[in-house]
Amino acid sequence: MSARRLPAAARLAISATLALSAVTACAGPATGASVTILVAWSGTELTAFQDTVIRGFEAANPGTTVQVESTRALETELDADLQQGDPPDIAALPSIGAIGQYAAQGALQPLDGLIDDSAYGPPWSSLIRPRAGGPVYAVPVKADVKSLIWYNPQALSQDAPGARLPATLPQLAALSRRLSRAGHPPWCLAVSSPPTSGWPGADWIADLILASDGPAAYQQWADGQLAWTSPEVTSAWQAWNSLTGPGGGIDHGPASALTTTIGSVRPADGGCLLSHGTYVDQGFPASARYGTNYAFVPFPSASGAIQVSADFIGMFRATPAADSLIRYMTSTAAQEAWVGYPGADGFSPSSQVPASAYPSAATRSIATLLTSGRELCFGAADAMAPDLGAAFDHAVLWDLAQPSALTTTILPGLARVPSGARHPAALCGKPS
Amino acid sequence: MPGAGSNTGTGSNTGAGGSKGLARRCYQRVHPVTWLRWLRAGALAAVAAAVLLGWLETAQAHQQIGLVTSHGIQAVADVAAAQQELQAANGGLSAIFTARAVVLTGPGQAYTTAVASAAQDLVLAAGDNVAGPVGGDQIQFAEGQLSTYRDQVNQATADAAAGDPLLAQAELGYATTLATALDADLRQLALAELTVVNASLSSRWQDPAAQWLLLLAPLAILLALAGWTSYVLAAGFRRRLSVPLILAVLAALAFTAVVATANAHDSAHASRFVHQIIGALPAPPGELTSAGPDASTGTSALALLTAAALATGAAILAFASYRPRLLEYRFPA
Repeated sequence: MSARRLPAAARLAISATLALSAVTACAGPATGASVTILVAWSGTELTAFQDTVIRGFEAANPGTTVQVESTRALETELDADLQQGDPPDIAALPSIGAIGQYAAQGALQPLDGLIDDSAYGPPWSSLIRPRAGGPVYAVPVKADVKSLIWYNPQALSQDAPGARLPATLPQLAALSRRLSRAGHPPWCLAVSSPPTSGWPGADWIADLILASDGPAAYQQWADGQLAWTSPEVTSAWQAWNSLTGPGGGIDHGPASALTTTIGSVRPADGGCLLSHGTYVDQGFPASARYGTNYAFVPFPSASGAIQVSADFIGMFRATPAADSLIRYMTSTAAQEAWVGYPGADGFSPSSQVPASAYPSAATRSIATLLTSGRELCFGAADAMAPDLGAAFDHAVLWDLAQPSALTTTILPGLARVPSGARHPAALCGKPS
Repeated sequence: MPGAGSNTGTGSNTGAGGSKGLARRCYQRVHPVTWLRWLRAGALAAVAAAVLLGWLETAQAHQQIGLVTSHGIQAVADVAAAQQELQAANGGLSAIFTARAVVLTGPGQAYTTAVASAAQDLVLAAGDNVAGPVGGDQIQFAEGQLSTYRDQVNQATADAAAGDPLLAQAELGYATTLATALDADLRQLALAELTVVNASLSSRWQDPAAQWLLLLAPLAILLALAGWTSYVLAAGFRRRLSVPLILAVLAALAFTAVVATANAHDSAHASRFVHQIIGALPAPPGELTSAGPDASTGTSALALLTAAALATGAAILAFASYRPRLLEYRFPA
């Protein structure tokens, strides 16, 4: 073989390899490929995901199988898998603080080119990049609205005839006091969710800061620029204590709230009349009727901003099958099928999914909030460094048990927790 | 040399049957001495095949038995011990909190000892894991959950020490929830290990019928070769089948019996051992699907030595049985 013919042969081989690679990449996963995804969903949430997204993907990609692993301790399992060098291909993470950490460790693969970022307006568009202007490392696939006050219309009209639904924080406090004075502790509250017990209270306090001080202060607080002992943050905690603390705000008292599992008390059941939080966390039974047994109003806020959360998917192993699954999960068709599944109780962060895709009056009403022009603020607790987030949750438990320690011990204690490296994104934004 | 070389012996040429005619035609194609050389090589190969299959069967069966008795069942027992320790830890913890002694004693010695033992059991289970990466992941997850449980207990203890009994009691409840969930995880893990144990004990290498069948194949070939040898000796040399060849076949049969019986015995012994361990567990994770205990006793090492002697004897006898007729041809009188 001559010296001149060798490069030609090599060029041919390289060209053939590149062409084959390109064809393979364009054609999607090879037949017989498999992709693993780790999620924290369970029950109907998990069934909805499997019946819509996974079945749809497998039907569209014959021969490719998806293994869904569900765990209640997602970050513990993910850390164990990463230590063993055997992570799942994809994981669904609710905390952008964790996403920032995994991206900094180099465990996450960039998703640029895989997703259509134009489908995600603020605040999602900034949350998907752990470094401003840097690569996309995660994409939201399932969102929720936290700033909701749930009530039992039937019971409320009986127990507080003529009561108006609160549009401001003082009106909310007044309604709470009125119901308490009538001998009916109004609030359903349950915070037991080991090992992260306390987070429903943390969401509530974040809502109070957002409602009373606005998105700018909320962002400052999440960034660590507004101290835990500042008047704004202190007054939000005190407002929470006045709603739920001594004096009879919580049905069955704080001890019951501390030991009751999240999702097991709700206004629709009779007993307590009001609750705070996402739709899915209320666990309304199928027999309860929206508008009669339960309904909601957005958390009263001067700015109209509402707090949202999301599950983001990150890719830990870049394979053609994982690429295809991420493309499929973020497609409008898959998102519509997912949110349209009865009992899925999740919402699409994509602006391209219309409210009509949702299966019930309650979910359609909540979905409308996401596109109503209100400012959306990502949950501050989910954006904090994991240690600080855990301390915040525990502080809620502490405050429920011993509200008198709030200003003397609890808030100064929180102020001493290192805020760590936080996701630098703007947490609040108005969807365009 | 009677008949050799002429290939016209009268031993069976008077038969009129079709099979006899076929045998004769076949016999006549090759010189009788060539037949004997081929048959000797075949007999030795059949003995070698019996030895090889016996070795393969024994190695496979004992590899699985070793995996099950040295690791698999130990992993099941390790995980079961971790479950028991976890229950003891949580029981000790509850007792300390109920007695309101936690401020003075901390979580208590019973808890501290039991939770340390549970952690140690999980380390041992990781070393004995036979459930592959799935089992490894489950063990690591359980270790993480145990650590979370400890953190929760530490938090409850700290809250109690800080004079907040309401919060401490709530934290104790969270710890109990975590312990209950971890108990379920450990049960799943033990089941995963037990599934591998069952699969090993139920494999074909542990099945006595399969063990016999595999070893009978070369014996059947040896028998066929001995039959054809008798025909060649009768037709070409006017001789009867030699006693050494009959002894070689019997030695091969004895080899087969010894190896198959020894392997079946060892499989049953392993199964009995596993049953005993599972039976001793306070809460077995599942049922063993392998055969029940066997009453036979003995030592497989002795059996294997006997088998080796029999195989060697079979090979020597087979070789020796052809030697006189081949020497006759080589050194004609």
